[in-house]
Amino acid sequence: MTDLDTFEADLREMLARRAKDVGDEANVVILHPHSGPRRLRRRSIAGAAAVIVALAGLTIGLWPGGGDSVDTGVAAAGSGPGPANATVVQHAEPQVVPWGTSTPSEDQLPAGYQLGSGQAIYRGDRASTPGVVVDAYFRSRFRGAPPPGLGASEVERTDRFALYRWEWTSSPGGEGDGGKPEGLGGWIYLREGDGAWEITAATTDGVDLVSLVSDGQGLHGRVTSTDESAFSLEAVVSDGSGQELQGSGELYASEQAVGVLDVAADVGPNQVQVRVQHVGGTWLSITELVMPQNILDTDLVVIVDPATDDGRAVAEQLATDERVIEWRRLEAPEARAMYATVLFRGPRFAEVWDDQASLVVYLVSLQNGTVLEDVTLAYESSVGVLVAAPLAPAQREQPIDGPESEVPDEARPGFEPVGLVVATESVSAPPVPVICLGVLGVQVPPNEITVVAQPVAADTPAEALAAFFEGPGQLPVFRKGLVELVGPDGAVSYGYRGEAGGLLMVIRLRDQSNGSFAVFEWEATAC
Amino acid sequence: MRLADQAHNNAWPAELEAFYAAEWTAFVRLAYLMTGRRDVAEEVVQDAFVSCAPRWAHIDKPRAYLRTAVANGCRDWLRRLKLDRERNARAPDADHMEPDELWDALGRLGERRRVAVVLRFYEDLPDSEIAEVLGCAPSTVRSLVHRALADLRREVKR
Repeated sequence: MTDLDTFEADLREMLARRAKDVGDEANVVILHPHSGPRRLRRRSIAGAAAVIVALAGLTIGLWPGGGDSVDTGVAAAGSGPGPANATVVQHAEPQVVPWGTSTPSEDQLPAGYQLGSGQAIYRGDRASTPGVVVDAYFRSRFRGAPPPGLGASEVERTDRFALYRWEWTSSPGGEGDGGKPEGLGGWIYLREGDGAWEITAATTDGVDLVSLVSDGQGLHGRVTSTDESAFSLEAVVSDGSGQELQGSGELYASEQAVGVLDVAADVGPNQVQVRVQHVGGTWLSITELVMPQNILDTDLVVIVDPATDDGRAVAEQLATDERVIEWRRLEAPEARAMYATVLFRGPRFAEVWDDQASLVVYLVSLQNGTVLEDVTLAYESSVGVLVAAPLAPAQREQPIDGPESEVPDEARPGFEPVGLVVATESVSAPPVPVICLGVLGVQVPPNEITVVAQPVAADTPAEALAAFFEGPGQLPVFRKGLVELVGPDGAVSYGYRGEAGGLLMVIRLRDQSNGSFAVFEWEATAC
Repeated sequence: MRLADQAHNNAWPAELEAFYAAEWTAFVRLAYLMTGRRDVAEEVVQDAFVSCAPRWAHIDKPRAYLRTAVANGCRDWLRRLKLDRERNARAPDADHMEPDELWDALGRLGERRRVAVVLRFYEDLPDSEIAEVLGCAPSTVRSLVHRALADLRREVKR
């Protein structure tokens, strides 16, 4: 068992043990839809928080109750434009800011986006404080004027960076007009640049832009929202000058509290700015940033490589029962077919997942064969992102050799060949992969069975297995170390055993009526 | 009319009552692992049941629906807690913590990572179902879990 397995087992054990902190006596049925004591507790928490916030004086009320008469000019700190009972208070003692390394919503941002170096979406006037810049930014972004009840408060600040939290303090329609929009809030990131504060990004809790990518040919991907309300979500794609581009869209959230909005814009290599806002009579939220450019460069290729100590680009020939190591370049589609999950977004950006092996990912110039960038993914962290920074080849030159300079297997450090099929066993019952059991002993979730769409017949089971692997996109993992399993009726299957001995995957063959064999389905554990 | 009042005035369907009786403890345990607070867990679960009562007849997969509602409630609470701590620079609520290194480390994870870890390693959900709960792509779930495990390992090794 690896350290990773042990750690995950410890984690499972801890969770199961701590769950028992809630004993069965909690199963006192409380069938009243409302629960007085619990409601009171929440109010007391919220009330205490409100008092603390009020005492701290950190809340900045940004807008008066009426929107039409708002002066959208940048106001000096402390002089408004807040409502009569609002004050703008400078943060007394800025805390140590982990800004840029551990941000509140980094998981929501597009892959490859760097908060510290992202292009500004709004730049304030010189000498304006961050609070005033946030105020002016909101005025510039919301139709007509920002709705009353939308506020922002400073959370962290250094000389160079500031982090603001925006949220609703009351209904956008004012007092007596329903409740404030529940669950809508987010973060605003500011950076000091050339004597003025600028905003690099605004985010909304639950609005996820992580799959958006601008690859030099267009913007594509999807925006997802976990908003539980019935608001709609609107995405606006614009160029650097603010001109709206084709590709904007609108989504109406479903009752499942999850919405998906596909975004696609043919913007070429131009800079793209994305703004996503909830709409409910007025704009209710703000998510905005300039997309990072992950440019497709046809002179580059990504090579995914089982990790070796020699630093060369290699690829395994895995689809035969005779293991062959071949030194060759892999094109992206090949790499994608070979490994569990490989997400390519153009050779300048690759995200690689593999739970089975350590990998090295290289970015290689096809013109001169130099390795421009590489990332090693160890077994315990076999996931990584490779973003090709504009490195000069001289900085990271590593010549790679072509097929003519093959190195024998035995010359590779620690090389131990593993055949496609390593043993044959008799089994007393049809083999089934291990089944995940939940805490109540229920199968959670069911194993996954994939039926082979076009079975390829062969004379022997081994040949049928090889033919199956040679088919495009067939079972990209478990391509070595298989065990041949022969059932009491002579039926042949192939399985892959995990470290604990259980089968993780079973490939089932069918004896055709004409004496040939073919793989007709495979089943993998869902654990 | 507020939802709670609305639900209060209407009797719950018998099926919902039975579901409530059968699943209450399981959901409180799930919410407890996500929030670290039993009182909060009970409140979140109560709110989730109340919110689903008016639309019970239209819910095809009640357990999945409740799981999502509970996860959202826990995330809301964790966000408020984080904000409260940031504003007031208070230490974690020691009253609710027992000496347990891994448990403590779990409590320091970001809300999405914590919820993802609980759904993966306690509920044994696959990426696709966790993604539905969190409203993100399955690849994001893998990233969240991977980063969460890295954080936990780093914290525990300290």
